[in-house]
Amino acid sequence: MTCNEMQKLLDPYIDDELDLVNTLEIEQHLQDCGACQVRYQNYLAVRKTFKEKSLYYELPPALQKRIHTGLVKSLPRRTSFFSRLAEERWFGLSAALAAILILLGIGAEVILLTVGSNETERITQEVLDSHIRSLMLNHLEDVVSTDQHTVKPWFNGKLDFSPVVEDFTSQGYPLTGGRLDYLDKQPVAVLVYQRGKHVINVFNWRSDSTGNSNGDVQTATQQGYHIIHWTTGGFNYWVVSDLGEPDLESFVQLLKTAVGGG
Amino acid sequence: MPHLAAAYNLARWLANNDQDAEDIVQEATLRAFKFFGSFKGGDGNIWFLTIVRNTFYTQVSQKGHQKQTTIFDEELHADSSEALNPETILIRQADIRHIKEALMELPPEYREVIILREIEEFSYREIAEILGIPIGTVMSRLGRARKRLQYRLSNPAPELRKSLSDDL
Repeated sequence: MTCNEMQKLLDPYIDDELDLVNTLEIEQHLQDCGACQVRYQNYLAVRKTFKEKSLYYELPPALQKRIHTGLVKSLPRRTSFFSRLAEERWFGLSAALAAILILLGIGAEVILLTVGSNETERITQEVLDSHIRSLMLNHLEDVVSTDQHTVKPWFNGKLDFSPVVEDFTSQGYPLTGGRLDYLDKQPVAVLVYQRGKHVINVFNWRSDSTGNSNGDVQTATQQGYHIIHWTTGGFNYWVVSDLGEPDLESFVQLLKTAVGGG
Repeated sequence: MPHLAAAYNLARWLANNDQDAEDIVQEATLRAFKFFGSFKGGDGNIWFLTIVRNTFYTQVSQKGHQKQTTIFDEELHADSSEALNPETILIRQADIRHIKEALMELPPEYREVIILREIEEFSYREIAEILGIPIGTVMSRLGRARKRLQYRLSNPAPELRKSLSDDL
């Protein structure tokens, strides 16, 4: 190996990017050639200057916050017709944002938010599927009655809780019955109401207290159906219907009052 | 947060001031979100650093040419200086100010290779991917940058040379 050849390979040599054969040849040459040994030492000395820690510019802590805010701001928002009653909420983070946030390692609290929202998306789909299925198969009620005193005890022995059942016929939303369903990996109480030709399914089950449980209402529209949900008093309430928003809003207000927790 | 830290460090070395570096990183995160669909998998850190680096160059071209950095004249550091042992001593004593100045004298295309190799310790292949250049180009830029630094660190500017000889 000539001095010229050695110099050409000096960079990959010190960066451990050289194959074994050339590496050995260089080491042999360095033993034999004093001038190249000096060249090599000078190269190492340059490299050593970079070990200096203060050459690494530390990430300013405020920047991370700013980035988080900036990303969250650029999320597409779903309309919330309860925005005057509750704070606006993100209804499900897109998979892209979730991936970016994890990619950037930005903040555990944001990742939890992401995970929670993926939960919400999953449950939304399950609830919606169940609603549609109940309409398709005309399997809305296992117990048919407008009498809450008939419907409520029907759930005894079928669930480990007793759902709040109230009839709103006088307000224009008659109870038509109830049924048992299964989603989010557990048995679920469903109360069925009617408004004109529209069916309202109310899904009710025990909350495992992930995500918010302060009673804030979240809203979405998916596949043409309105889905409104909240958690209060340790229970999840999901309302699904193709009823128009103003009427559905009134119904949800009635229901919220009935189940308590504001 | 390794990814953001590496991103900021690279942006800071390219832009040479805190504010611009922060803006670059913030802009890069928004682009990463927007173009996440184009991410085909693989190393997310590398993909993101590519965006950071491209954001810098986009902003540079938008702002117009930066003031010209020192002419990259290779004849300055021909073999004549290399055989002298005292040069090694000088380089080892180079303090932070010298190193930073020497690095900032490099044009950004050479500076970024040094930063990615010496400070972030990426492999040639990873550097090639971040910069979108062949591995051979990584090697040759690295070689030229190192030679340049070697010269600059062992031949500091006159004011600096005076204070160095005081120390010796």
